[in-house]
Amino acid sequence: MFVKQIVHLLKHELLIEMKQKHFISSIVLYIVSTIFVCSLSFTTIAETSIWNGLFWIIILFSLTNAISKSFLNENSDKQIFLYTLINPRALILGKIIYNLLLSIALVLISFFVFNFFIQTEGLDNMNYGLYLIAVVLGSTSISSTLTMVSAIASKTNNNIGILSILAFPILIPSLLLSIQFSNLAILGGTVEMSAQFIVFLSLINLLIVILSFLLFPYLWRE
Amino acid sequence: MNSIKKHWWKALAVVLLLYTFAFSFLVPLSSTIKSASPSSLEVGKNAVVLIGYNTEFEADENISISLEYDHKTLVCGTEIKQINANQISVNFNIPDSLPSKILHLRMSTSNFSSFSPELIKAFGITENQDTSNLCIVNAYNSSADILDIPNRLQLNETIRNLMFHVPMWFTMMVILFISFFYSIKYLNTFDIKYDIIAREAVNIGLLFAALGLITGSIWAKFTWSEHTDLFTTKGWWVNDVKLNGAAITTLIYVAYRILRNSLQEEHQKAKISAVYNIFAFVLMIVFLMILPRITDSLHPGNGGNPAFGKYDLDSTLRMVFYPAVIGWILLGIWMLSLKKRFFNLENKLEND
Repeated sequence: MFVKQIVHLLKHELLIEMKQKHFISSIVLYIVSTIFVCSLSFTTIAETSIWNGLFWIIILFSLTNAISKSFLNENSDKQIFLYTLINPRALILGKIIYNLLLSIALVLISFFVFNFFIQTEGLDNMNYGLYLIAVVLGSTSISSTLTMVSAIASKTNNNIGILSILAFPILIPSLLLSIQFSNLAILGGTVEMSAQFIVFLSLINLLIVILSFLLFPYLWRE
Repeated sequence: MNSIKKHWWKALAVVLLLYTFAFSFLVPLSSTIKSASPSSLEVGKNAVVLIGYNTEFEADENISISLEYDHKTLVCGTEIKQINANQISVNFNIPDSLPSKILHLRMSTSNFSSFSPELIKAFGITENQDTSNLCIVNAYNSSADILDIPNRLQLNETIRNLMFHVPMWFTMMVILFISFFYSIKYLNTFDIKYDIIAREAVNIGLLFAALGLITGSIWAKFTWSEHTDLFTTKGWWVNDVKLNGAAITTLIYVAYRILRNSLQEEHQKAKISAVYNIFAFVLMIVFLMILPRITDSLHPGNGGNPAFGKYDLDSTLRMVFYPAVIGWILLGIWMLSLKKRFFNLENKLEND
């Protein structure tokens, strides 16, 4: 029953996304234009760590933009409708999973666009598989934190401003971990070398999901 | 009798803090040698002037100075001559082979004995691991146990800040834990008085965080920025894990206050900010535990720096550090209980 509700919610979210194509295309355009502005100001970045840091900053801001809408575009009528039908925990898990899929898609798009526009030397040793793990784990913790915090922020009037001030301090540590992890991948690290990053990031992700699962019912019906 | 049973801990806080202030401002630093010129010696006879701090060399007959390494006395100082209260000149006859190029200076007088690690470097010698005492030094028994605060090379007088800077963070963490606890309690009962405690605990926690940042900033400015070869920053802020953790904590709780201010209805305010408080506190604790493990820090106990208890905190400092921590924590809790009483009365007046 619980899993069924989550699957249903995912389908529902996807359907809305398909109907309102302007939203996803506006986010992609946001990413492309941000990267283009960066490429106009840098063109080539000599140091790979700066290149990597810039990439994560772009990811952070575009995901904030994308996920801030996850609780905003639900008007109160629809919320009442949802409240009567489903379990709040299914709702938050559905939202987290959906936002995770959305953010992985957006991150992959931005990685290709970023590689296309901004060149850097020293990617010869890069371990692409490990970099992908870093990006997936990092964007998981960013998107799940942002989902929970946007649920909190949607209760206030100034949604996007409150979302960033509430979420960024919590995000700094996992962002730092992801940046160090992906730097290691760029330098050609192996899975064994980055075991502690994988363990720590997975634990943090698990913790964020558990906390959201426990706390979301209290945001319910407010 | 009843009020003593109820309020004894406030008296304890006052006593402990008075003791802390008195100890950390009145007790002098121990006498020690701060620098030697020249500090790098060559093979043969070297005349060195040692500059001390809080020392009284004048008219002291019983002075012995030696260089040592690995608990073995290697070179004894000869022709010791007092220049003034804080300066003394000594001759070292450096042999052409020694176990190490970096040597420790040991000094004993009739008033004190001191040990300055890695003060003297000997160049032009060959390193030879022969570890026998090369000379015998007649150490004088320094008179009695004088109460003093240890005098470390980089820290100097700033070591007194230990009793203020470190307890601020301990108190902040305790107060924020109280806030977290009452937020959970609020979500279980929806009683507004628990929310008042959680809110006021955050305010007091922020006050202690601000004090910790200020004392830490002053401390960093006068120790890390001037002496470390590894670190070339000259500012009030360095890029260090613990400082980042402190900044993150402060940002989270400032955000908590902003979240509260942007909500209107009382119970909605309480509920949503309690959810954020719990979410943020748990993640913050996890990060504060994980982050120092993956990066180095300038603070004791991280990245190869010795932790408290190894040799940073000797028994004299322990005598005042632990009372200071308890005193500051009790003070924080006292402030919280005053705030709680104030807002409960205000609530009562509004409802009447």
